[in-house]
Amino acid sequence: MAQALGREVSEVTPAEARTTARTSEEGVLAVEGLECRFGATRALRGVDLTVYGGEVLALLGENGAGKSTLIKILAGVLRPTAGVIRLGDDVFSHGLTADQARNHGLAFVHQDLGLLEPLSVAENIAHVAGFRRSRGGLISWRRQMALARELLARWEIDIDPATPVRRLEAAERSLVAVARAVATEAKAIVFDEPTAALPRHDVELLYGAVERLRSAGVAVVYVTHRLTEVMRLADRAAVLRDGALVGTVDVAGTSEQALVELIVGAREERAAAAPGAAGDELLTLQDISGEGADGVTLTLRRGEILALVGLVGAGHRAVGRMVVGAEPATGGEMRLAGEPFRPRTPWEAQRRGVVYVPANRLGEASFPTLDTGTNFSLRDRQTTAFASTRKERVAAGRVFDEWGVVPAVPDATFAALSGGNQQRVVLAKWMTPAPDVLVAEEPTAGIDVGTKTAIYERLADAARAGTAVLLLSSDADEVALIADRAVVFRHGTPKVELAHEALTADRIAQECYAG
Amino acid sequence: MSAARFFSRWGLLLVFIAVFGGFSAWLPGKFPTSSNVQDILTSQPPGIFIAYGAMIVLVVGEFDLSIGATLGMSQYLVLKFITHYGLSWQVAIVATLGVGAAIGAANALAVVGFGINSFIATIGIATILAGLVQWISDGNQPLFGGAPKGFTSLAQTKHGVVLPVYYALVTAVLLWLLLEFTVVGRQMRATGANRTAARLSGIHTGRARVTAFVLAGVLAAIGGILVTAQVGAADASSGPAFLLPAYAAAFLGATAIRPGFFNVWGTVIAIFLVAIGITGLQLKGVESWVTPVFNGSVLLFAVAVSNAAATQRAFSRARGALSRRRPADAKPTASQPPAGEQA
Repeated sequence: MAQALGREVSEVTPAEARTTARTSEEGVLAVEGLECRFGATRALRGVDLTVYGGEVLALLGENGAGKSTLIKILAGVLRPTAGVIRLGDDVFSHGLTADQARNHGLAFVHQDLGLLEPLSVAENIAHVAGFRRSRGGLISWRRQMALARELLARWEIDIDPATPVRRLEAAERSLVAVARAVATEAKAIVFDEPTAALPRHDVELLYGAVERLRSAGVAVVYVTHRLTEVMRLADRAAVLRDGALVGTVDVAGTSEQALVELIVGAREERAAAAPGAAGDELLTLQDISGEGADGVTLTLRRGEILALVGLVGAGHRAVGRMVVGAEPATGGEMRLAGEPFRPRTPWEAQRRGVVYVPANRLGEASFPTLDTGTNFSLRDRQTTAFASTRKERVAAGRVFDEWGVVPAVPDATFAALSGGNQQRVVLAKWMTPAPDVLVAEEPTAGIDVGTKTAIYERLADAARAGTAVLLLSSDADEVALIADRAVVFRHGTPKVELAHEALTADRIAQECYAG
Repeated sequence: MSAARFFSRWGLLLVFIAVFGGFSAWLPGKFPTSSNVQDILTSQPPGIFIAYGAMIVLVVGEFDLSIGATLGMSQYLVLKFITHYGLSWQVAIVATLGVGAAIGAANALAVVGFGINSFIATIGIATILAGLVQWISDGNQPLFGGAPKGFTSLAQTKHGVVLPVYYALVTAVLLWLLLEFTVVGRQMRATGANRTAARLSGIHTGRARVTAFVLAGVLAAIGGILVTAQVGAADASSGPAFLLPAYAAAFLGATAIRPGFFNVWGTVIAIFLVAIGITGLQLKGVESWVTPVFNGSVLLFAVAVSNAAATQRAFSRARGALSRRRPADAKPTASQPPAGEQA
């Protein structure tokens, strides 16, 4: 019986096996002719999209393609200027309110999860799923805990519901966000880049949750930049470009390459990763220790891209931050161009030509409320104490133009730019003029394919021109694509160095997860 | 409960006991006497009410610096309503509470409606109130006498303690129930924890903040009414002096009972800790300028301690991330008391 079943299943193509999960041909969630204008710009221009129960629809597109606008309209944060939204049998022609979305079974797992960090898991669930009260009308925390425990058990999440969310690990948080979102019998759920902040090894847990939702007949909209994720998880992929839907494809009948072409349009190019010839030793670390890393010995040469890879907390990031003076190194010796080097502040590191691009773009790498020109100027090149001068702003505009920042004028508020353009500004700031050592932490996390390719080219160019690039990354594909060498960290120490043929995404991932 | 946890929850109470014991040993016959304890209790209720007001707005992540002015205005208004407008004292109290609520609503309008930073907005409202108080009090002329017996009997002594102390305790229980056991209260807490996340969770964060400001106005008005009932006279200009001790108490209170969260019982303990500290020093014969110096130092100390606690948390989190896969039973969840935290 089991064998027969096995054979039968194996004869069904993956695409068919997946589509059988679709519970109905009536869309659970649909938008028709959806338009959204901000002044003169049309963020969405007539989008038609239907999502069925029991399928995962990946929503793809570069930053600024209209994904966020669409999600915000569904969440009731924005109102469309035209078009209708259908939820089951109900039609909304003037947009939704957040309450309507929820009451009609539409749930969200937001990009940063939207959890209340200091509060307990049970309370986070309660704020979405509702509070349980005792007869007097007061909240019954006993019943609230029981409800949360039951929900967590149903999702096989082994945590105490009294735990404050901030004490949870990243994967647990994302599962709590999912469990909480569907606690109200959601018919459709929107995931907005749920894995952007997740360490790689925890991603599978979330995939499992998505698959469970699909087999339970829920319609899943999954927004992502990671194409491997799309191939792994989605039944169909809908691609937005410049506010319009450019195609909806069955994932089983397509390839990553084909998706990339749909996403970026005609200008698909892969970063030419001809490894530059590495030059002299520039930065040496001898037995460096500090918070999060221990006994690290490394050499970085001029003109190479050296990747430090690892899972969250593996120590590669800690080493990078010691090199740039953001965290103190407590033991060992660093040398820069033969001279002793122990920066106590990022300022000291910068003066020696070592610059740092942190991963946390809005939190650490920029001044979101200031304009892009000021953002560009606010570093050691700045000539006046309080503001960037006219000359600096002209220079900034020229650099932005060259980097393809949109808008290239230095007057736009940094936070108003799309993620990809923000990252271009940040990298342009630290790579003009070319530094001796560039420490770049997750330089392409959460940004669109087009900008990603451009950044890879920039990094390769800088290396060819003699900059030593220290890439701190948890993206194995990225490392395999652009790095000359990779050192994999586990438990605070470097475990293995990969280069040449050994430098493949699979091998990197394998080493990251090993022991 | 681990020792560290025990001290972070009950440390402030232990300090209270230690300070009380210390002064008792230092000033036997002066400090630990029933008349001194009565004096301390009697002088606190207005300060406690205004501290509740400070706390409730801090819970939603805002500041209300107008509560001192509100207290000053209401202590004057309640008496003026009775003596100049011939209202019965009951109606005068209700009207004064209404004024307090209206001031809270004005703060809410400025902060929630117009999106003005609460620090600035409430300083603005406080300044306006100071002007209005001068106007209605003919240049801060105090009002003496004329309070009917029913009104002053609100502050009479029962079982050796003035009634306002009981009011303060009952209010503490009500606020505790509000913040821990009602949906509105939890939404207020969530709003203060992370306004964006709260909004994404479907919480009406504006409503939560309006509620807090209005409650703060009413609580400050109660404080003002109690001053007048206890003293029998009203000095409209005395309000602002209540402001800083209220914040000192709220911040100091956030270091105890539910460390890291502004909470009612921590605030109550903090009020009395500061009170016995000042009284002890005064009994020892220090001059009156010591009081504000003491209050300011306590405020700085309280905020520094809660910052240190936050840094501590960040460190332990970083360490937790390092030992990536901890066995389930070794997680810090075990040391986190479950329902007890809320209850």
